[in-house]
Amino acid sequence: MKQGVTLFVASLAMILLPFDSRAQNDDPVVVTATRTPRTADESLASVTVITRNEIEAAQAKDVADLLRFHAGIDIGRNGGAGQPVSAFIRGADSNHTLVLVDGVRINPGTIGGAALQNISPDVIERIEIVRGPRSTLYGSDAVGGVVQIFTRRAHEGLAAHARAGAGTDETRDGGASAHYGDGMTRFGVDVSRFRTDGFAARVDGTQDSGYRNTTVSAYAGLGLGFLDAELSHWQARGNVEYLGFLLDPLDQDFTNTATNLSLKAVPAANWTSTIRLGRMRDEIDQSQSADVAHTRRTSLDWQNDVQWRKDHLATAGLYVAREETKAVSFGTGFDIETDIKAVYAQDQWHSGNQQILAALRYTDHDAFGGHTTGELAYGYRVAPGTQLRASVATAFRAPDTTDRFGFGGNPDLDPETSRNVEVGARFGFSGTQSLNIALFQNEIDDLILFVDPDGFTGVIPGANQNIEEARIRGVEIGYALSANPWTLNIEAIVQDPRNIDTGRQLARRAKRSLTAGVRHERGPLLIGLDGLATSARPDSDFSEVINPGYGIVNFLTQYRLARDWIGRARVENVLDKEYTLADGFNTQGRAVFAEIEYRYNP
Amino acid sequence: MIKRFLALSVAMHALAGTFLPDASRAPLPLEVPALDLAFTTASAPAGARAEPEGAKPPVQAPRPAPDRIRASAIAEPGPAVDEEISPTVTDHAEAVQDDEAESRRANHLLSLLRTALDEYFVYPPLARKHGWQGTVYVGLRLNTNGDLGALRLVRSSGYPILDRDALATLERIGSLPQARAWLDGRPLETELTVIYRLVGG
Repeated sequence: MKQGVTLFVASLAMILLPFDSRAQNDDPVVVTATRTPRTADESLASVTVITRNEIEAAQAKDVADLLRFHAGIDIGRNGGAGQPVSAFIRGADSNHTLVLVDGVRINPGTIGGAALQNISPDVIERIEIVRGPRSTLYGSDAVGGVVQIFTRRAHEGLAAHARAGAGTDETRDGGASAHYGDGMTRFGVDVSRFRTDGFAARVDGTQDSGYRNTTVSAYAGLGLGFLDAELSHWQARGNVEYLGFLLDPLDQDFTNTATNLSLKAVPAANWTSTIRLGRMRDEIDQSQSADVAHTRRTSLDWQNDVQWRKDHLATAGLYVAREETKAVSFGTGFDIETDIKAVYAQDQWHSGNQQILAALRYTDHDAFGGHTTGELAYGYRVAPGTQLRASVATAFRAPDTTDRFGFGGNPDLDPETSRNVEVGARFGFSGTQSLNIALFQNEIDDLILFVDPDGFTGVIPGANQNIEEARIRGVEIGYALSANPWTLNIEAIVQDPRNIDTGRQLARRAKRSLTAGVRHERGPLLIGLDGLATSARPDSDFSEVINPGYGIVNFLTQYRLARDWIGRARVENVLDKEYTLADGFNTQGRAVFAEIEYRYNP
Repeated sequence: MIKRFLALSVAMHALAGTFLPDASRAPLPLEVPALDLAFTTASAPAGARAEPEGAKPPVQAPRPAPDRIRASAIAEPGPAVDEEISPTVTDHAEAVQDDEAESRRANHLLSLLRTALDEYFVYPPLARKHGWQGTVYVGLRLNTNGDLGALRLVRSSGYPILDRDALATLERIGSLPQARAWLDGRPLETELTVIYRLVGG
């Protein structure tokens, strides 16, 4: 009786319950596309992305060590951790690499390239490296390439971690973070501290060159659908020791910051408008004297993206910046304010198998007046996974304040300019392998050089002039394999970085480089090897010294000890190879480092 | 014992067929209790009140799940169905069969749509640039001549450009002549789910 009643009631219920009257679409239409890197479209440019997982496993002490294992990025160092680093992308100068942190350009306006030695990977979520010129969208300095760094952000929910490690040369490294994110809000903070006694930076020195870096990254964001606002701040502060001309121990304090306020609105379905207010500081204060080099830059960028047809995406923007540069060096110096204004526009058309990108930028710079750069790129998808591309683009580097008002200063300098032509192909196989080839020629003109026609003792004073010409031709090949449990990444570059006037190979840049990274991940264990082999490099434009080619291998391992605990270890320069990056300066011998991390992720 | 209650169950289902607006039969001029909400769609309620000629209550594409009976089928402008409702086990079985056939028909039509759509859909570049993803629910009617009509947004993905793209693409497709045979003179009102998803990175 009872089961009958149940049956009855059940069947009644089936009639009376409101049915979901929507067509049950068990097999929906799925429209997919690959996520495009923020810096450039992978189908039109040579882009390398370094993800958070790769950053953690690599255990690099700074960003330069991460960039190093990619052929085509030559890294020069004057010693160990914290010592000045130079990055030469595709044979261009080290001040031809634009570095951005959370969209804020951190290249100094005083002299030289960005302080890559002070950027701690611990607070980095992702790095995008684009090789080739990018001035049309990013302005000055993006002649050889762009390194765009994104600091860590919350994913869904609450997450925290704490980490501590130690290694050779009394190295101590630790950090902690806490992040929270939900559909609407996100905020978090990352702290990292690194210190090392280091080793003597100079070959003929006996005193270790230590380094201390405290990095903090914090952000808060609010997403309301039609409006998204985010405030972020990144800073690295510390002290680095080095040896003076007479091997006297010196040290300097450094401060690098990048602060960004971003407001993104969606005024119409097909239009986004983003305002970014940025501020950066790059400050060096020498401890034993009054020498300083300070750059402070405030910038405003207003960028609009409009999809004006289903196959056209247009971008138009305005950029204004004020740069305050101050330097004191050996008693003389400058204190200069420079205003920069620019307007840029780009259209990207994508239909079927073809795409075309055209872009223009007009810059009005206090140093030299007006300058126009542009880019034209074409992409053709031959088959799914096979993409061909060709592009031509111009770029520039504005003369910095040292060029204009420092030693040999010339306020009438023009910008260094470049024109790059490249063709490339990408072949993807079965979703697990890919092969990338690029051929490029970058001609850099009006390179600034100190010229003293009648020598130091002569009557006519030397001055900086736009006098040099360089040409870099090269072929890049990259192969990537992702087949569980193996991951393999091989890159090679054969290039000819040449000074057209003197016919010499450009200093610190190798003609041939090969890098390889292998990872094996099984269960809780990950082991990896990173290798780099590079050919001989002339040390400087002013000497005949050649730094011989060399090869080094790093070993790394990561082990998940328990649900929330991870242990890592790395051996740098496993073969304890002695080599030279800069004549007269030491490089890291074999070094061991280990760390343990606790991760809270409910 | 079971037999008795099976008969009772069937009777209840038959009664449901009588009193509830099961639109497979011609709408009967009966006042129906609030149960009619069971068979309404989000867009157009189909009451058992007499409907004007040509009004087509929304059709649901039923799941091929025999344990749930859905108000399926479609009203047609043609002659009203006038079969007697007799509470027999055979009729019940037939009703289930009809529903399954309906379900197959709707599913086949949807897969026809999908094949056409796969060729037409392109991820909107603005959404791709900003990393926008989501699911759009679009309502549509496949007319007897294969034309796509009555396109409407049933539920937004949260991003107007994805919603617009889904509707615009369907508008661009315009017609599915190959669906005519399966439509068999009866239009299909249904909903399509379009998922925009970014991979990699």
